[in-house]
Amino acid sequence: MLGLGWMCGDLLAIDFNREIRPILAENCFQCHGPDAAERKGALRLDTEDGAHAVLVPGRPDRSDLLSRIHATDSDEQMPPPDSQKTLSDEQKRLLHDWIAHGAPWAEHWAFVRPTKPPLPEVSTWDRNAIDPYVRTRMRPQELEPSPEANKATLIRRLTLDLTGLPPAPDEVSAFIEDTRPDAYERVVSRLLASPRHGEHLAWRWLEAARYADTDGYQNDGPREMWPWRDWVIDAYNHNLPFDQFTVEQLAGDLLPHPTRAQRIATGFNRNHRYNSESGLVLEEFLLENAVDRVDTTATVWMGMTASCARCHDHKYDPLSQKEYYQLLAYFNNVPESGRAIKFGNSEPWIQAPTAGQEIAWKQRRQAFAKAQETLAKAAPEIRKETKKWAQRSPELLDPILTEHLAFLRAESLPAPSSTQTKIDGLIGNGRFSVSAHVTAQNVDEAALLSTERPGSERQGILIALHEGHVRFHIITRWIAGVGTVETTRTFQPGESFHLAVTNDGTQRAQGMRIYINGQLATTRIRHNTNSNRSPATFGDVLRLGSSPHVASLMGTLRDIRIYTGHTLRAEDIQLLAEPTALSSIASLPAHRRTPRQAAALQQAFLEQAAPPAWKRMAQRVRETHAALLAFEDALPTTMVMEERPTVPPTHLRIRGVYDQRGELVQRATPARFPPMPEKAPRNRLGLAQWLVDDTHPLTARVAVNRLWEPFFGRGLVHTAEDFGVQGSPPSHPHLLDWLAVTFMERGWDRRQLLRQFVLSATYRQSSQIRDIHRQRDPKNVYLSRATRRRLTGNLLRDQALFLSGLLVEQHGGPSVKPYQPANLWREASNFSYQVGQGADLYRRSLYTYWKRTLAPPTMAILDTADREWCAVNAKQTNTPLQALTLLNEPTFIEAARELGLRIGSANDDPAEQVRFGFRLVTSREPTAQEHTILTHALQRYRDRFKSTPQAARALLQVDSPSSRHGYLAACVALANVLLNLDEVTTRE
Amino acid sequence: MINAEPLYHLHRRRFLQQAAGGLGGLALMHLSQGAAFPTAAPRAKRIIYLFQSGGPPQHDLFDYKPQLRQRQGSEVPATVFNGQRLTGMTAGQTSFPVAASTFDFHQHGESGLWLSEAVPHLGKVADDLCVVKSLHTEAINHDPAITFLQSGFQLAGRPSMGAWLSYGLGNANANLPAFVAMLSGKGGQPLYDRLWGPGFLPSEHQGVRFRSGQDPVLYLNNPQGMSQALRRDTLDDLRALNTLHMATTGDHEIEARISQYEMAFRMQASIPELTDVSDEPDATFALYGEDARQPGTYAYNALMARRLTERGTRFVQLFHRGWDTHGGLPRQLRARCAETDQASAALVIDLKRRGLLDDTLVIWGGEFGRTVYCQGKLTAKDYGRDHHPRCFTTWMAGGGIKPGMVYGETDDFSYNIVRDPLSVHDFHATILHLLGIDHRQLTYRFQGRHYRLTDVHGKVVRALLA
Repeated sequence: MLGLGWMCGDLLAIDFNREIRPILAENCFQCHGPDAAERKGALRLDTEDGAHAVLVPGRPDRSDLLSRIHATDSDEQMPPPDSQKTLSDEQKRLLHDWIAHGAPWAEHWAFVRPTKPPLPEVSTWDRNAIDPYVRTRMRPQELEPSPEANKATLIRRLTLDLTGLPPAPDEVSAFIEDTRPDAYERVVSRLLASPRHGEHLAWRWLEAARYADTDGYQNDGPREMWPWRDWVIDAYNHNLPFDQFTVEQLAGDLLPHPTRAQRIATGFNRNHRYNSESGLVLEEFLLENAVDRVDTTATVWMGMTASCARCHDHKYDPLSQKEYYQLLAYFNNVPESGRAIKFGNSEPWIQAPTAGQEIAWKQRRQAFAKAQETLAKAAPEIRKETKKWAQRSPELLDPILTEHLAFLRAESLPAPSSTQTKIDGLIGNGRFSVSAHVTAQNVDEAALLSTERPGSERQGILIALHEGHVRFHIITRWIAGVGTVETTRTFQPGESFHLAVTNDGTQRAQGMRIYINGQLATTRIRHNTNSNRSPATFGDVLRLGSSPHVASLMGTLRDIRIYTGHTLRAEDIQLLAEPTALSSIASLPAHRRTPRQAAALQQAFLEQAAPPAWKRMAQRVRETHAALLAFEDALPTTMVMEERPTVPPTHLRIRGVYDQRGELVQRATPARFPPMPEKAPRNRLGLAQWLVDDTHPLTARVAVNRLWEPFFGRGLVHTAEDFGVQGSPPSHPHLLDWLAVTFMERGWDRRQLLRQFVLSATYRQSSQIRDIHRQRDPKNVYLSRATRRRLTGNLLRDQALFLSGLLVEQHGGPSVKPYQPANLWREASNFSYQVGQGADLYRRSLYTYWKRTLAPPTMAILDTADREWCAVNAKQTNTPLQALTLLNEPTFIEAARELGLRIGSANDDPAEQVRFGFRLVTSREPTAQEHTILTHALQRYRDRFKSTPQAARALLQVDSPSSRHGYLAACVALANVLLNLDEVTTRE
Repeated sequence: MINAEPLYHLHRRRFLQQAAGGLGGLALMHLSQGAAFPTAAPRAKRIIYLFQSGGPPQHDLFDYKPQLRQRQGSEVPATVFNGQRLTGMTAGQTSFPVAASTFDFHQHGESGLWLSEAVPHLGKVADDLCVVKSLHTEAINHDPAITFLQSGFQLAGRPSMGAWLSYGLGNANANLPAFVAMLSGKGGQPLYDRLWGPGFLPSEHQGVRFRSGQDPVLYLNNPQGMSQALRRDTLDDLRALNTLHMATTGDHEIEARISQYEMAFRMQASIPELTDVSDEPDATFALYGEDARQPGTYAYNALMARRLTERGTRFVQLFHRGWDTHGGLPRQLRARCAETDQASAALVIDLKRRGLLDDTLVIWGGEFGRTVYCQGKLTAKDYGRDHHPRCFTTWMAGGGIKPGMVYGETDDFSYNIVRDPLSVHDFHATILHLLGIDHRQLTYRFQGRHYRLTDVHGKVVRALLA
């Protein structure tokens, strides 16, 4: 058909965007397109000027373009025979006619800022602005709108589309009986306000955001990102405007004084897969992480297939390879190591308490503060008593700070000294602290303390001097799994100092600290790849002043202390750093003691000799501190985006390969698009602001299109992932633009947009397919009916749980593990799936634990996205495995069982029971014919169970016999049928 | 190449059909007459791929380097490394001593193929094998390497080889899937759904994972208490109701869904019949080994591969875990070979006896090779080897491949290829060629691009063809 004059306004003209560019793009751009490196014969056909080199507008006879496509000589012929591309006669004719009409050129529609098109003439059918646009596009196809669907269908459609669950029977009857003119609007408002709404909308966003509970590569260890998932649900339920939704997810961390929620939101770009393989090269996966962020961001907000430009200039769209890396430069400045932690979150991450935990956390902090305050109040008295005590009995002084002490060697040791002691807990994923007074001659290389094992993997810890610096290593596997921090300052040969190191149990170098002479030292991170969680017994025997891998210490160590399961506080380390022995301090006159000496002495008094009340006070400080730490250690965390303080240089990578560095590039947005807003910062925040600036031609269109698709069965742009020249042109360009512009004008209000969708007459049509539809528009591009769609796995499962009464509606929190066949993980991986219990089995699918490499099988079979990468287009297939799943999978069977029992106990009359069950699952009354089939079915199943009572008990999962079992089992079989009805598995 | 219609239209039409939700919805079971390929006379009609996951050590199995024994323990010369990147596991090693294989090699068959003592059974089929010593890959870690070999791309998201074939060739048996994956081996490197996944192809092309135990295919069995007769009843009623609904809605897609339920019912019979090996004579177990009686073993899976092949399944892929021999190589290798060698050889023999080898391509291999230098401690009897992408050995048999030959040659260290390198893309192109598919034509349009298994690379290596 000819274009509707979209863009060029002439009803008879050929629409360049719709009909000509796709031919050129598909067949010519590979060699004559935007990719300068591949361009042949200096000819480009993606620009008007370029094309004019081979065509004369209005003169097909003088246009080389045409003679070449008609040529039969293989040297002349275009596209060349070896390109595997051929033009059809129809395409050749179109090109001819286009040139004959003057070869009008137009920019690719999607790269031009949308403007509000004129509203077509309104008719009585129309309910809001969507309808005239839709109706206008039906007319040339000789299609008419379908009648409105009946109320039962409408409420089921609405409830499924807005909440992801079917309506309850009383909601259906209330709606059917409600004769008020705004009955429909009332249902819409009720559904939009339901917390189920946010849960439902979140699903598609999670698929686009490649959200999962594991890392997705090889070992595929667990991570904790559900606080981000809950943020998304909340954002939908609070109707966070889409521009803010965008900015917070892309750059919440860069907002002024970001809230915890805004930082959690940035998890969007940490949801990508992340490799923890020991053998990987860090540079390679630092690049892959950034690449995934660019590709996902480009797909989700711009509908652009940016990934093509990773290796070369984009073949079709205006994105050069250089521009790709300019975009990448916004996303490669995260303080991350390049290797994922094997179990748990990889840095950067933050604590993400739930609302309840937030309160409990505050209480714990207050308790600690209060305990300190109480002790401080008593301090003058305690000081006085300490002095008296010191005069009385200095010789009785024992070592202080002995709680959590796993090893103590108080006397001075000539190094190296061997021990046969094995100390558990000196591991990256455990808290520990080490303290000692050190004197070293060989500061260039000297082991101070080590638990490393011999052998090349060196598992253990090492504290050493290296070129004058103190280095603290936790090694799970040299050199792939190492956390190393190093003091920036150096030490001189013979220098004596107190050294303490602490670890916070998070496996990351940021959690490893070095204190020199009681002060926290400035350190730099040398390695931060400690990805293996270790058992407490990890490492070898303790070596003092020596290591199997580093030169031994020439010097001494004194008062060597190792604390396990505990991170010393800075105050404690202060006391330990005091070089003078307690007994010597005690024998000094009080006024000669330094404040630190006095404090150390006071500590000894409190621990060893103070009256019980004071002892309790001191103890209370320690207890509340330990409780606070334990609480913090158990808090959920979530991965977030952060910026390194200095932006590293970004190079273009030749052919996209990590170690093939090309030109140095700066952060910038692609030239083809409007520039960044003047005042926008040149970082992710600026990029996010650029995306939601109302001059951006893509963001609103892409967002509106993705929201449209589930409600109408098909995107206005069918290729939701590609708005570029190879994507499909919009079926309703004016409608798309009207929606996009209005969306922006109305403050990116999603709820208002959805409301508009469902209030339209277009949405309310019947889904019945008539001959004219089959002939003129089988795919329902022109929306002259509603589209029937099989529900995806998550909706099918949730619906079955809901209809059977099994659904547990508990919002948010850690992911849960519903039924899964035994050993499905074990056979393929090194993990076992532990099926959850109780409520965990019956939560909405949104909360199901998603192991990326071995996805929940019912979801994978029933067309949900795999979460390995960004997916914005829905799949729909029919396979026998889907039938087997819906018939036999334990959740669906359990749902059938519960539903069967509901049916069987609803009424005594089988005819009524059948009606009840049917109404429950379809929201409508059965026809007489349907009713007959079901009643006979129930009778037949009953007859079968009559002779096999054991089978009835097995299906019902009961032990003791009962006369009703045959009947109830028949109801279960009937429920199994009902849940598999096409009408039930389909959104009508 | 003869083509019924220009490919542009072919692909475009296919794309539109699939985008619309699957024309006719014949889906997983759509029969080969509807498929676009083969477009040339195929040499092979189906493939059995015996994937050895983890990276089998070529020095100890196929790539015989007797002179390495003189170099045992000496440093691998820098000229051999030639700037090659090492994995993060051995990059920190200070020494890279040569570890000669402790396995003895012998010549087999008329071709005089050198094989390690670790694979004695394979010797029996030496003259059927085409041993490629010069396969090389771009990845150095398991996940990217196995993903690359399976899908032609190192990152997730592309269809697996079997999914491409299901898409291109359709299915030859209405009661069984076109693409079956089976797993064996405990421990070792994990495997992932994506290795038999559909990527961006419609989900019907994903490989069906056959498992040991009660449900060889997920959810195959009715719940306890539901007999097959009752299941038949319920499906009849379901069909009656859905047919009524089709009349009301006018949606012919419902017909496709009804037929999926019928196929599911047929699978409930065809799969147990397939997986029950009690109808096999004792000679079968003498050939494959007694393990083959035990579901879940490699030998059982190999036998199942033959049974599936007989029934027309296009692509059967076995994955055996545990070849990642970083340390304790001799012990581990003996164990892996004990689990796999007899059954691998038996499969070739069995297919040949049944006249199936001519048009069935059997492939054996892993995702990369292993280093000549020792990882960890080198002793007279023990050593380990790290990942090695630059060369590794794989073998093929049947299906139009040239038998009794060795292709490619490596240097004295089996570190670099000195003759006839074979890239993964060329390997894929050649496999597709054997199936009568021009690898440049098996495409699927996604994100505005025609994607291929061979990406933008690949050439058919004629020297490998019979």
